[in-house]
Amino acid sequence: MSLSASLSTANSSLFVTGERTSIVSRNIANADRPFYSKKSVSVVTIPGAGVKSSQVVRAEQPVLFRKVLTSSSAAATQGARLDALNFLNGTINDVELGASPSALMNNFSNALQTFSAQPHSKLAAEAAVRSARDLADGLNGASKIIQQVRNESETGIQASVDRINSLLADFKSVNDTIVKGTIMGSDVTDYLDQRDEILANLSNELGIRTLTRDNNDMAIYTDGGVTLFDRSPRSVEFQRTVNLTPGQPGNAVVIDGVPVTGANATMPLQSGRLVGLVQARDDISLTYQAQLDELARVLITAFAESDQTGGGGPDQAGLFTWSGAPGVPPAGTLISDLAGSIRVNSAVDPDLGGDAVLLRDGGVNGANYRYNSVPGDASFTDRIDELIGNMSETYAFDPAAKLAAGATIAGFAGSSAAWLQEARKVADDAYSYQSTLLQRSYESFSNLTGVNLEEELALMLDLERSFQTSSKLVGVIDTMFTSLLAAIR
Amino acid sequence: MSISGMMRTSVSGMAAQSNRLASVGDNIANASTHGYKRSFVEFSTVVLESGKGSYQPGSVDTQIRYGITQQGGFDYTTSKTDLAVSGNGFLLVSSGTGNNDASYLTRAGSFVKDQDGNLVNAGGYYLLGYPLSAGQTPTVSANGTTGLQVVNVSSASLEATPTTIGKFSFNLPEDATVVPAGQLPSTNTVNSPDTKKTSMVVVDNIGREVVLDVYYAKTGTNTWEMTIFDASTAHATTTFPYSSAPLRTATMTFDAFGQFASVAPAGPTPNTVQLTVPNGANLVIDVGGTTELADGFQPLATEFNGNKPSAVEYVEFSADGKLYAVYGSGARQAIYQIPLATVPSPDNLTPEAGNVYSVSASSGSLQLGFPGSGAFGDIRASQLEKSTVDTATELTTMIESQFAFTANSKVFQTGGELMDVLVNLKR
Repeated sequence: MSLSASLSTANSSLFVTGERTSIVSRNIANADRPFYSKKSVSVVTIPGAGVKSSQVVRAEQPVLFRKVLTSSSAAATQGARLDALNFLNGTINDVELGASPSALMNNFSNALQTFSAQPHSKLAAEAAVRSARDLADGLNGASKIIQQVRNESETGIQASVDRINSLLADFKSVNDTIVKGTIMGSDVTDYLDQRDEILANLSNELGIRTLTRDNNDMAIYTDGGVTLFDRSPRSVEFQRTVNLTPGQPGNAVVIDGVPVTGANATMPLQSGRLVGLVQARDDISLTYQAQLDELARVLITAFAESDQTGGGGPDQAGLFTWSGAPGVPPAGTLISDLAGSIRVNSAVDPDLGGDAVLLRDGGVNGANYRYNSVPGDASFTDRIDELIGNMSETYAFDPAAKLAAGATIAGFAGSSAAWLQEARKVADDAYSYQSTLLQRSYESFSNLTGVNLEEELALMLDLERSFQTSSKLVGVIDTMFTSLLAAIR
Repeated sequence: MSISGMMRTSVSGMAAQSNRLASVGDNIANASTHGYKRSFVEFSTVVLESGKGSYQPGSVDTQIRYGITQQGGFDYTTSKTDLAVSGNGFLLVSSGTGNNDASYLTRAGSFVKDQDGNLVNAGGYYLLGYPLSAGQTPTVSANGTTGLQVVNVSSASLEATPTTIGKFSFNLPEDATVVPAGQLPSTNTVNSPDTKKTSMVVVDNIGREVVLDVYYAKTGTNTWEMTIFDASTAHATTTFPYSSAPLRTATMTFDAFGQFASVAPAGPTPNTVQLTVPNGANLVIDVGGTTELADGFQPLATEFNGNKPSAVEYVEFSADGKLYAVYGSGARQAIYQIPLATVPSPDNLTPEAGNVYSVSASSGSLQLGFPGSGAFGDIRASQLEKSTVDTATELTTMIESQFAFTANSKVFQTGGELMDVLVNLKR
């Protein structure tokens, strides 16, 4: 219509083009940052007066993002389990190296056979006792590794809880900024990206659900339904035990006053690293510990000595002894940390001044428990054969070991190793499945929300053209004014 | 004598054209003044009675007009206190902050906060409005400025609003175990492992955040009990028993499709429960969205009003002329109602320095109303009304005036030369 009006319209176009260019450069600068979403400016027409930019909008994919969060939690659970199982696998090591309880058991059994073939040989007796000691040491060592795994998981849980608390504090400040910014109509898109990143980190620690409310306010709940954040962060508490009691589950994590892990959890967590760590600390480790404890208990029972006088004295611990010696542990009942305290009786151990031949003759617990009545009679193998027979007998095992209720010692040791390997394989498969799923869902999420450089380049060319045209227009209007002014003399 | 009459006429013509040029000069000078309305000059003839056979030239009379009703375009600005009026209304401003200062009409709305928190525009005039206290509509005298005050945005400082309404719904797992009567949370004795717990945050009268613990316990087929406790009274280690009785216990029933059926005792409206927040207001919670479907315990909606004490972050105008104080917590409170004024003949208002107009006898008397009502028009925030001057038009007017002025001077010159001839007749 009029020149002044067309000048201000061209001006508005230049201004909007400038703003859009700044968004393009923001997109390009952040192109390879995870969880950066593509920004664009929505441009609106001002009736009769050109254009203006109304707001900056970001590419959003809430459904895919939720998928990323859940798969990240699931992958973290399996990752924590797998770490613990890999560590526990150190108790078995390479089967060829013969360091597993099962291999040590075989060695010991072979040594006994050799001794039985040469009952007079003191060397064979000592070799048998030494391999018994290797077996006891192996069980002690495995027990220590389990304890180490549990203590490390405990530290991991503490670290995870600390991280959750600090993430929630970060979340509060970002969320407050978003709410305030949304109300004020300022550009909060970068804060929304930041919030997504915090959520992604949080979902790594524990499974979450979110609710978006007015003004972009967000509340977070655990996947079990416990409130984590609603206007303010809820307390996530955990009492760390510096050295866990063997055989006893550790403390539960409590969120907003509700226990979310362990047997007493009313609204248990379903996924996340925290869940994996608690399983490693309480489920996997305790089961494996129970298996080793049962192995130790049966060993003590198999090598116990009975009263040979007919006086009816109780059975007493023989070659293998424990903290409750001289009695034998009650049959079929799990005794915590027995694998950690099983020892070869010092009366038999030649390195501790004992007499290895007692293995053949009996009498660790005194004369009443002596099998071969004539001292030094080197040709009686009855006691050794009885012990060998005991080893291949079937024993009842506590159900806490989660293996077959009745098995021979060697069979039980073998199936314990197999159990661990199987659990590890399952966790490994689950982990690779979940992390592939995470990778895939993150890929499709970022394909839709991330920055596409070609697209930005094309937009940049468009903007350049529009800017050129608008500035050309300003030039033309200037020429028109000049000619009008030239008309005045 | 017509020659002298002709000279007199041309002088009046030159005077008229210089008036016109003066108005053009003013217009060009104010081409970028927000809220400026262009002035222009209208001419009318002055006719002298002519005798038979002799023409008595008259003269030209100048009328100064202002295009006050002409709507200017809009400039977008980044200041939230910039105002433009789209329509016939004017903003009311005062020359000072005192009660006895004269009030004027203006369209120049570039208001900023001065050192006392008053909104003042580029011409040094203060914006007037009706102060609003919570939920009241101001009484307006339709033809006077009674009750108007200078808008001051510093008085609104810390503000807290207690929570009064909310929405709280969860999905309750259909397969949950029925909690025995003795272990229900409402008995305040023991936390049964089968109850579901969550919490809500509300704000009390003085702006403290109060956490309320909410327990859901299944009491039978399709019935659940909802119990709300003050979380601060929970037992330090075991949570239960709370040192004070539940704030509210309500029984919800669901239909065969797991959808919400009813709640007892219901609040003032169906599907709500009512409770008194400790040290706070009466809170009505809408629980109608609660479902009992075969899914886990999960939140569906949790929303509450109320805000913690927070300072005013900024003020903003809405299209209906209300000035809102926006608090850091996101709450908005209307603190002033800005009226719009007009007169029966706006073009006859008297312009005064500073882009303001005063009511004159010919304009008619003041009429007040609210934006959006009648012919007053709307208030647009973050916009300013552009000057109605178009430079190109003014320049052409100037060229035209220049010609007219020259032509008049030629008439005068001719008259002078004729007089010269006449005077020289006598030697």
